[in-house]
Amino acid sequence: MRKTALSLMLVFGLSSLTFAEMMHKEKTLYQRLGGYDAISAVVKDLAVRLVTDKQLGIYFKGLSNDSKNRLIAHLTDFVCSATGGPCIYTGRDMKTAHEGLGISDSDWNRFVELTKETLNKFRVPPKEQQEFLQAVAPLKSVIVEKK
Amino acid sequence: MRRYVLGTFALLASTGFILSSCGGSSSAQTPFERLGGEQGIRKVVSDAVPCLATDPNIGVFFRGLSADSLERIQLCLTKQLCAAAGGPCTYPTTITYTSPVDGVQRTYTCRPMRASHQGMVGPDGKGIANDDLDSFKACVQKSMQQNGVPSDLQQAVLNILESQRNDVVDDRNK
Repeated sequence: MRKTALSLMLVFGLSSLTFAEMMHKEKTLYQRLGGYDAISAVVKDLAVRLVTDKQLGIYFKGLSNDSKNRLIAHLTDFVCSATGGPCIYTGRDMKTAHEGLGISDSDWNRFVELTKETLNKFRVPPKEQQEFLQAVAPLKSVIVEKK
Repeated sequence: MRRYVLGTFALLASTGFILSSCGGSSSAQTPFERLGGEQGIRKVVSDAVPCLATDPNIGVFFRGLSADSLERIQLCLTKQLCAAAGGPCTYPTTITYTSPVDGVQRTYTCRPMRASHQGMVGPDGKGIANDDLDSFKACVQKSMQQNGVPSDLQQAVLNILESQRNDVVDDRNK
């Protein structure tokens, strides 16, 4: 009986070690992007592109400096959380935050383009870029109102 | 003896009641009361939104507001006018509101005028101009006219909005 218990413990111990090892090998996207500071820099760069963009800038013309800072802080938490980082996003869900704006398919595509420009600027490898875009892709159906 | 005391109390209480009713006559009412309290102010604010959103000068500042954000901004303006017009509100304040999008209760902090206005982009990249505040006041005045607000009371509300010019108009336009 004691022997069985011991060997069971060994098996469990071993398997959990293997699991931990696997986890260690497959770093989260958050880690591979470079952690919080890197994500914060990416979000700030993207925010400047969005606010000054000919097509999407219209959505940001009524945001004060304080509002823009809040938006950047929320977006940073959101990306950190969505990529497996240690942040908790406390802003509104994406549907509530966007409904009524009348965002079109073309607006969404422009957003993806600008995101790629930012990721390229920071030399994010293609694999991580793809994962990043896959992480935001499901939001399209919630955010886009006009086909 | 006990009956006498009780009777005096009753008399005092009723006198007090009559006095406070007299105090409620229109001359002593606060602008807040005359506007119909928070509900009346909210009506004036809501009815100004179509004008604000389509105004050639300032409509652009409202284009990026989602339905939820538009609800919040109306509630905040209501709180602010309530506070400035002698009502029982404080400003800035954190409000609890029901989202028009999903009916969920959320909280939001209504910020001071400077924080919520300085640094906007606007059509020329320079934020809110002096003319823009004039357009804002014109929309609120139109809404007050629609709602039958007496002209002296309209002026009181417009004076409140005017008193915020320095915080609302972008520093880059001074």
